Amino acid sequence: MDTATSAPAPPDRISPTKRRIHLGRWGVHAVLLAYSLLALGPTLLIIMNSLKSRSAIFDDAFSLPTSETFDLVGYDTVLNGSSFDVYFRNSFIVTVASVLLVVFFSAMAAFALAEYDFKGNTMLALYLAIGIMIPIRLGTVSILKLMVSLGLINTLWALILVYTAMGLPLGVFLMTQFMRQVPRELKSAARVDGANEYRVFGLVLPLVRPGMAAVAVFTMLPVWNDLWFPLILAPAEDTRTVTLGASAFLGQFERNWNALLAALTLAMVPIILLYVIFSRQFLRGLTEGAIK
Amino acid sequence: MSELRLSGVSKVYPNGVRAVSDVDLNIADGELLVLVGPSGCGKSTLLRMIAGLEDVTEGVVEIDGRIVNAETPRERDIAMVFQNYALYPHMTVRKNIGYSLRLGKVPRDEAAQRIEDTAALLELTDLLDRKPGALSGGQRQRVAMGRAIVRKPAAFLMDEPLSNLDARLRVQMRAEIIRLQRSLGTTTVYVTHDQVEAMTMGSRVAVLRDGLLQQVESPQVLYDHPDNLFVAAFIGSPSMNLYQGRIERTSTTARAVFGAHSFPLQDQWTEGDGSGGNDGREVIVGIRPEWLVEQTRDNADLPSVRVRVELVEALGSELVAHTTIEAAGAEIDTPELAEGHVSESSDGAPCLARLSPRSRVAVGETIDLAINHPSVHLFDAETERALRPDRDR
Repeated sequence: MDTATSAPAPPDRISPTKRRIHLGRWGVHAVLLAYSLLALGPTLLIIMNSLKSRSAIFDDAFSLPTSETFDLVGYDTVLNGSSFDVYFRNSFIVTVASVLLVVFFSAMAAFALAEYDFKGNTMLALYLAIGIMIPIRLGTVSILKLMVSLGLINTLWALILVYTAMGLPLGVFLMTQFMRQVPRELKSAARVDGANEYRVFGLVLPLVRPGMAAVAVFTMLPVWNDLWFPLILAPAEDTRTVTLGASAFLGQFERNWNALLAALTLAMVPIILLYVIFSRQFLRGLTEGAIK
Repeated sequence: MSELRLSGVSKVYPNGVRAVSDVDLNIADGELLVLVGPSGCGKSTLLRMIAGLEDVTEGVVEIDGRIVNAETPRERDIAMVFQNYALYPHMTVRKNIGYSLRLGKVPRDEAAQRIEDTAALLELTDLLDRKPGALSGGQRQRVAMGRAIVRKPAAFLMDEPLSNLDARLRVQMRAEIIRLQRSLGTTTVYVTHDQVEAMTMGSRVAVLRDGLLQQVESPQVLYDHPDNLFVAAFIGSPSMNLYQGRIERTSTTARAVFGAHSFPLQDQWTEGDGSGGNDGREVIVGIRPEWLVEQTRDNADLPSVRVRVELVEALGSELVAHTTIEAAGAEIDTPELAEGHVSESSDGAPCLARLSPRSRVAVGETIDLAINHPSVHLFDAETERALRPDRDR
């Protein structure tokens, strides 16, 4: 009992340490605000200028649209002058399919890695982690050859498969952490109740919903925004994604800035919607865990 | 309803740790057997092996004469209650209780009826549509019980089901579990680290230490005749006072000497060939705190010990005196058992006494305490096994 005689804590006053913490908090917020402005600035510029006439964009790119400069010609070009409905549909199919596949398969792999004690468990987890560090684009040539020999060039499947492969390493890594947090006794209880392994997996899934939402968000953004693989694997008119379609305005319509900016603005809408949906799940999952 | 039989059951983990060693145990139909031991003694591992959640490294687990080593939990038809209840957080109480019935493809009507019956039995009817998050600890505990009961399984396995409850609720649920088990008559294995729970609940109690079964007996026999030093120290609260000592005998008398004190041994110790076989034998002397009483004129003929009072705990119904005695305390290398003892000071070993609340002992006093019991426990200092006059004389 020789450690029991430590000095009692001093009475609660605004101590110098507290003030320092206070200042530190302001500093953090200043940095975060600056970063937000930096990140949001270009986005705001895109939205602002997509609503202006061509000459107004060149006159003063940083001014808000006024009644004189307001012009929807860009949106008109995008919505009526091209097949952007097809592009949007393609992007949507590719993104949603890839996200679903990544979430499902990474949950399964993570369940196995977290739950079963088998030879090579650690090696397998490490092997998957390597996938996080090595960019999939290094394998573009091989992927192209593979897709050609599979006859999948200019199909959405080519993109879905590549993006699933691209998202899985990080997905498995994240999901494994979430799976480890599910109490062992819960799975034991299910097994004793007569559940087979698939049932146990099914029982665990709702409990790792925050994890699945996080994986979905992390997978979704790079897939939606990718220009590289659509350009290489599926550049045909009817398999084009929004990003590739928008890039066509650089050149095809001799740098049609209005159309390009309008296309980019429109391209943000679905991804923001998806993000809101997934992050709701994310938050709901978090609070559910807190009450439990 | 069924009988469980473990023969030579061992668990060795891949890293070489031997969690359970060569356990033989028969649990009769309808019996409530309590597995008790300090944390990490392998009792939960043993339970998980019976449930089929851990592989059995060696030995055989039988349910009703059927070897179930290779069977999955679902094939063994046992129900388990876990320490943290392990309720499915996203399901209502109704679905939690009915989960096993749904998996077992019990017809919907029958399942609904059984859920209602179970809920009524456990007074959960009003809570059936709530989720576990909205229940109190005691209610969750009852749902966990309900999940086990609704299946009408061959056996219940309970893994410290009460240790997350507060003290009052624990006593209440303890009685409730005993009542339920009696009325259902289902074979039950109950794991706990709490010896009070073990003593009050079990028709038989199995004491486990470091994966080795120490003794399996009824609570009273465990208390009266512990097989070894560990059981002696583990069973009983406060735990037994233990001192290093030796047997001294002459042709006509024998006594156990510890420190400055001695206790005359029963006649049996002096019988035999008279060769003085046990003379000088190193032993550990065990004296239960409840045997010690204040020395008065009425019991002046009893053997006594002289102690110095260090601390007095008045519990209302009794008075626990922490004292020191002039003798060498016996160490037992299980940390859980060391708790509650006054740390050993230079002038003697701790000695606990449960005295009458009317006693007027005062801190700092040196008093004589009479040993109001016909015998003391003797253990071999080497093997730590109990010495019995009929066997070790």
